[in-house]
Amino acid sequence: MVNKESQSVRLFFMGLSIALAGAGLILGTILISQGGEWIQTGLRFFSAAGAGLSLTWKLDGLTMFFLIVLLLGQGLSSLYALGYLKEYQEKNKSLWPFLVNWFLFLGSMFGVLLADDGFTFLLTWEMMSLFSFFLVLYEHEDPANRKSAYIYFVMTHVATVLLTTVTLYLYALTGSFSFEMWAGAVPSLSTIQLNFIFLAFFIGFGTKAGFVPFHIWLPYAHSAAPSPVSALMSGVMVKVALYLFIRLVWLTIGPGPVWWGWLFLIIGALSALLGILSASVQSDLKKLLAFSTIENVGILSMALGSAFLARTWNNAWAMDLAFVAFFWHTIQHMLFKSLLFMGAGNIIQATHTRNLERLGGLLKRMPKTGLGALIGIIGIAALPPLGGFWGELTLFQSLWMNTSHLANGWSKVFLPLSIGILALVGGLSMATFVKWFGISFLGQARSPVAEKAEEAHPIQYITPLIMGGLAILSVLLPTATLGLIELPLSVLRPGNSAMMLSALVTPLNLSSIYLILLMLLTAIVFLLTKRSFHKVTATWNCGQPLTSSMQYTAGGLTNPIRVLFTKVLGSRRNVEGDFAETRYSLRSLTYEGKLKEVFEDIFYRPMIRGLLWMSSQIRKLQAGSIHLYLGYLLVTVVVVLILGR
Amino acid sequence: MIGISENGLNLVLIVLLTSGLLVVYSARVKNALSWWTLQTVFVSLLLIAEGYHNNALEVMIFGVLLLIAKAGIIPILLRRVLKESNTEWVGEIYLKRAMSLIFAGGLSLMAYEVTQPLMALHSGYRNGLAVAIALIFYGLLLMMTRKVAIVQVLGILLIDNGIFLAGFFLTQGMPLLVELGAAFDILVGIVIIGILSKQMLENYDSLNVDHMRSLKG
Repeated sequence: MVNKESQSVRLFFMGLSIALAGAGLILGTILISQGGEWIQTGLRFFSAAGAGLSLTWKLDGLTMFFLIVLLLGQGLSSLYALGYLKEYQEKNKSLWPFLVNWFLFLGSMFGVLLADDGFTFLLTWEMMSLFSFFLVLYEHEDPANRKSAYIYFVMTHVATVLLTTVTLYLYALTGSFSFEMWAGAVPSLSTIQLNFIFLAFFIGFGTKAGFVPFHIWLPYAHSAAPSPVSALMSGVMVKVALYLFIRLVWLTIGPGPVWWGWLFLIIGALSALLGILSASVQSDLKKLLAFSTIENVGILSMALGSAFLARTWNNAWAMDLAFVAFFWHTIQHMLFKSLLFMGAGNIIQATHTRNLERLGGLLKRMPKTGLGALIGIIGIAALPPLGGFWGELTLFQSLWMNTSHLANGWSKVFLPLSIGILALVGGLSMATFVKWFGISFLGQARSPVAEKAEEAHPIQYITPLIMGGLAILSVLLPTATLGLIELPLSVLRPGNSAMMLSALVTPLNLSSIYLILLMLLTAIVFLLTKRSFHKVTATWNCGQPLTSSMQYTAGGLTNPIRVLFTKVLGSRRNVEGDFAETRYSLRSLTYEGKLKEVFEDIFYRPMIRGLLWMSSQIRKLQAGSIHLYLGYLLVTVVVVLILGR
Repeated sequence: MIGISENGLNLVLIVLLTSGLLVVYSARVKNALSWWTLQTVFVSLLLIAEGYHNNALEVMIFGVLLLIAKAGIIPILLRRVLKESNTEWVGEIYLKRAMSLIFAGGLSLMAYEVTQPLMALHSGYRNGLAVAIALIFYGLLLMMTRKVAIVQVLGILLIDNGIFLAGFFLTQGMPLLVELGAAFDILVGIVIIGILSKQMLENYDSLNVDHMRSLKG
């Protein structure tokens, strides 16, 4: 049963969203190719000059870069949603809540990126939180989704409280909401004031970006949202939070003391490590990707930290490298994470399960989705030919260059340590995505739903492939990508940054030549072997029939990680064997593995318990007796009269 | 208000305060209502006298309207509710009548205490303001320590009289429109409360506000 009206609504609005994104991209490209002053100084528009509470907007190179990321994300996610929403349409679920919030969410992200004063920023930021909350809540029939959305709502509002406080504080200090005035007032502020402002920004934006320990909402919300929304939230929204770090911390209240850089670096390393560790042991298709987002945000935060440290130590090369790594990885992560969420969306629509243990053998049934996902995991696991590798390599270089700063002894300890952590994270992310891909796409189906899976709607596998193609192009044509990165660099780093970029272009160009050669070589080898050595035989299986239970399970594949990091992950396992007569014949074996959400247990549960206790105390005031309420009234009147004398 | 002699004003204030205390002390709802009506009549008379002495016709008209609306219509409405619900006693809880009277006395002292900074006023005004605030306190006290809904309404009416008097003495004549609005506000309020208490009668078969506890979630 196809609902005609809802069909045309879906086509029209998603088409509109794609067209707008396309128009925006073309306009952006024209603006960039014309170049000019606006990249550094910023282009103000729709802004009444100096009037109290007007909304002011500014477009400069930094904003432009993130706008391009947002427009790419918007266009491709909308294209994907065009196919994805078909399922809801067939279920006769109203599409309006999705479409309206989709546009408002995108619009508010534009607003956050373009905002040039604290008030505009807060307004659009709050809108962004609210509409993404509604989008997470779109599949509200499932109580688990409602809980996820609720956690998101609470966490994001805690962040907003801090941001509102600090915005008003800065307003009280400077008498203006404009970012420029704030930056101008910074030299006159004391270190304590600056640190307070910084910490509030850090926690506020860090919550949205998903820094450990403020990350707990992220795996819930990103996995509960419909896949196009997850793609947008993971690919773009976290980047918006990181953009604000640059806009408000680096450009406005910076440079700040050294420890800011260290905080970014250490929290980043912590997020990366814990994110990928948690990801590796997840068996939920989308939750795993969400945890991997935390990891990547951690890597981006490490790049920011390295840039901050380099700025305090006047290490221009390290700073440039850190920023190139940051922006490079931002683009790449947007492409790959959106791609993977789309792939996950296809799997979920085909099998209606998110549990990896019930998937398997999907490559045979959904080959095109599988191809897209393969490109995605190569990128996200930072394997050489694709972009993820180059970003992390540049970050390694930046961190390493920072260790050369002689004056600070800590740099000799923590920076190599963070390099080590980054390497460990790279290795673990490889394991994680081997698991993600291997368990869901390879081997045999582990459940009837996986056996009956069918390839998704063409749009739904073409979009990930487009993203994969873009990712490959971004490496094949590094001049274009680095040209894009030059936009924010020219804002952040006054002076000539061309040398750095041209120095980077050469190895990347070379690598792309190698890549082409490699691909050609593979193609030739493949064509040659296909004809001569292709032989199909049965898998050797001890003479037993081959069943799906012989394969690795999702839990089993990463069990070593689970065991190694018991303390960090809070993992527990319970194996019970039911033996028949001797220890050599086993009737059945039950395995139960549990993961504790360590941060939820250490930080959040006691906090929630305290809050509930306080609420129950306050509730005693609410006895429901009219006489008591009137008593409050009398006491209040008397007290007010006495005080007001 | 220059016109009323200080003695006359004090006499009216004594009547107002005493009737307020008697509302608190009454055992039967009907009596309390009568004492309140008496009080309202005197409030209206005060207004009419003021208008007469100042040759302000509109103030006099307003006083007459107040007399009709508050001292006429409201008592009739409330008496009807009383008859329908067979309510006779005020239903003391927490404080018995005598004890409430002592508390009311304490609150009157408190009212004089809180109006201390206005000592500079004309002494009649000062007394008037203290009485007005005392009436507000009586109203709250009454609402707190009685369980029949009609007595709660009486409490509101006492507070209304108190607020009206306070406004009268402090501003020496509020804009007519505001006074009219305030007077008809309370009239409409009483009509609504009459309807609500009917609802309450249907649901609980009594006007005991303790039943409202069951509404708490």
